[in-house]
Amino acid sequence: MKEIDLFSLALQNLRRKPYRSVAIGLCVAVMVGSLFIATIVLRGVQTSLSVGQARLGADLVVVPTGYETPAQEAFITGQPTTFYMPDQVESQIAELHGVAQTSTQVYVQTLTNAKCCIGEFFLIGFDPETDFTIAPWLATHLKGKPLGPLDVIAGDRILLREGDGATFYGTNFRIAGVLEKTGMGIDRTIYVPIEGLRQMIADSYGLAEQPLAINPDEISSIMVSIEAGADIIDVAERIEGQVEGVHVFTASQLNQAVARQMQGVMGITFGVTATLWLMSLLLVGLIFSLIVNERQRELGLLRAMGAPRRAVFRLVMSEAGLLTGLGGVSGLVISGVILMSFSRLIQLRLRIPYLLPSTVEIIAVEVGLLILALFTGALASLQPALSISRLEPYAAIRQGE
Amino acid sequence: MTAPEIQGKAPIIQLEGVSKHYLQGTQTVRAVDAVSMQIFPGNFVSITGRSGSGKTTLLSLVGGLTSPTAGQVNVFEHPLQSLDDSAISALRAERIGFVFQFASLIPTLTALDNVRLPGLFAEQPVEQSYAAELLDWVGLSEKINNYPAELSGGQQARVSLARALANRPELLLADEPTGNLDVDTEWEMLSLLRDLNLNQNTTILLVTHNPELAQYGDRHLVMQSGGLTESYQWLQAQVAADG
Repeated sequence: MKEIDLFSLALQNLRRKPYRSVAIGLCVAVMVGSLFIATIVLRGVQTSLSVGQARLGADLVVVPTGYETPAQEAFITGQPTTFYMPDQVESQIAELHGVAQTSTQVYVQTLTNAKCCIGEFFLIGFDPETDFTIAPWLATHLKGKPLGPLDVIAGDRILLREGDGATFYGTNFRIAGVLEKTGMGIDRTIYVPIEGLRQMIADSYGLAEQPLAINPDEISSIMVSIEAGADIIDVAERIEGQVEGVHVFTASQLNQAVARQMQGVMGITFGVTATLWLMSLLLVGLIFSLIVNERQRELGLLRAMGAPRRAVFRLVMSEAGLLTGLGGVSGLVISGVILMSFSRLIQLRLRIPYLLPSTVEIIAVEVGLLILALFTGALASLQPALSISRLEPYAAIRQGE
Repeated sequence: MTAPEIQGKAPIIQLEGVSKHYLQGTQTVRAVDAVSMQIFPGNFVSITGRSGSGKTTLLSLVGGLTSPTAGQVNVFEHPLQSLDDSAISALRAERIGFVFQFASLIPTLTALDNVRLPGLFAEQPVEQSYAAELLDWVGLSEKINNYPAELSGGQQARVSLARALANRPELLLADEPTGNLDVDTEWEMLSLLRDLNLNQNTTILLVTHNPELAQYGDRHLVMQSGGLTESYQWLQAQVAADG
């Protein structure tokens, strides 16, 4: 036969009203589960944004004035866009104080439903000689193999894999590699060496249904890396102040657009969850007041049997802790299963490459939320537990009659 | 008011000018009013009185379940007012047993576990074999694994008595323990209390509304409007016995 202790007594007490216990546990489970999902998703968005920012490679991106919105969309979502400015802008920027390195890019949008092209893609012509954005990746993944003019690099969400062929404006290219996921527009972009892109533009007049009218001295954007120690905002302002007709994005500004969008969604999610927490707190508090009132005589009798105030206090707190603890564990298990089962769908819907953090981080979040659940129980039952433990046993027995 | 004194022994309960007054609306209720008494080890004292005369309040004062408005309550030579909650609780857990009119057993515990429950608050747990022995003594050896809902009112009252004895108390405070029982069970319970007093030398303070039951004590006190007096019949019986 099992020993009787306060913990087992608390557990037995919870079994007396199973529906009520399950209802409280469920309420805490929903609160903890929602918080767990919201925290993990937010963490995934943050990770994706910071990885995306790191992958952009440039400190500043310069585009022609008036194209800020399509440029931002292209960087963030990979929505194809085209705009051009004279290539002499690059030399103007390169001479400015604080600028360490520049590299130009040319944007091309492929045609849909055209014989010359395999689909609608966003092509970015880059100069392998000066590029510093995807160059580090190239160095690692191509292992020193030279990139030919018709060798292209595809973003992760382009349905082409290494070795595949692809035809754009009548020119045949070969996929030399696929970039890792970034969660940004890069994933929907095909990087073409500028030599191959210029060749494609020239050949489009004979091979494509619609030729590409891009002059050889036109570029779309300039990627800028700043000198060590230079202030990024100062350099951006200097470029906008001294070079006419350009707009400068900082890498963090590009992410901020996504972050703002996500913050709105997460703000609502956390608002709802905070409301749930408050409701759980009130519900658990209310129910524990009822429980204590219902069992006033019984708790008074325990005092008569020799239970000191602290034992009665601990009994009520143990019941609350057990209930919210079990509710919290259930919530974590259920939400964990939901998160694992729908992680791909969530990633696709939110367009984020990373969702689940490391196991250690997940465990830390779970432990934190379990502590929150226990804290909720403790906070909610504190007043009823204090009030019954302070009541004279005689009064508890008489009032409970 | 002095009980039959046990030679050389200090009183187990000593009340000096004890009052318990409380406010009910604007009126002061004198539940217990300037009561003094002494009860010695091994006494079986019955207190009768009308409903609301203050019997239960007096018992609660003796058990430290409430504190007096005035006066001094000494139990086992400890002035209860000077003890903190832990000390009074320890006294109840180790040396005092309570039986109430309502059995109030924990519904999720078996009869055996209900009897073992006081051990949770005492220094020593209540051994399973001793709890079974107590249930056997109250005639419930067949029911040790039954839950309260499976027991009759009388059986629950007997489990409650067994529970009150689980900590081997020197003092048993019984508040209308037979109040809700039929006549047969009432006498069975009284017989158990008498047996306990005679064979275990347990001091018993019994509150009852039934003057017939009160005759079975060594001493019969009557409570009226908060005051305590010796029963006239008991005094007469004492005089007759002496004389």
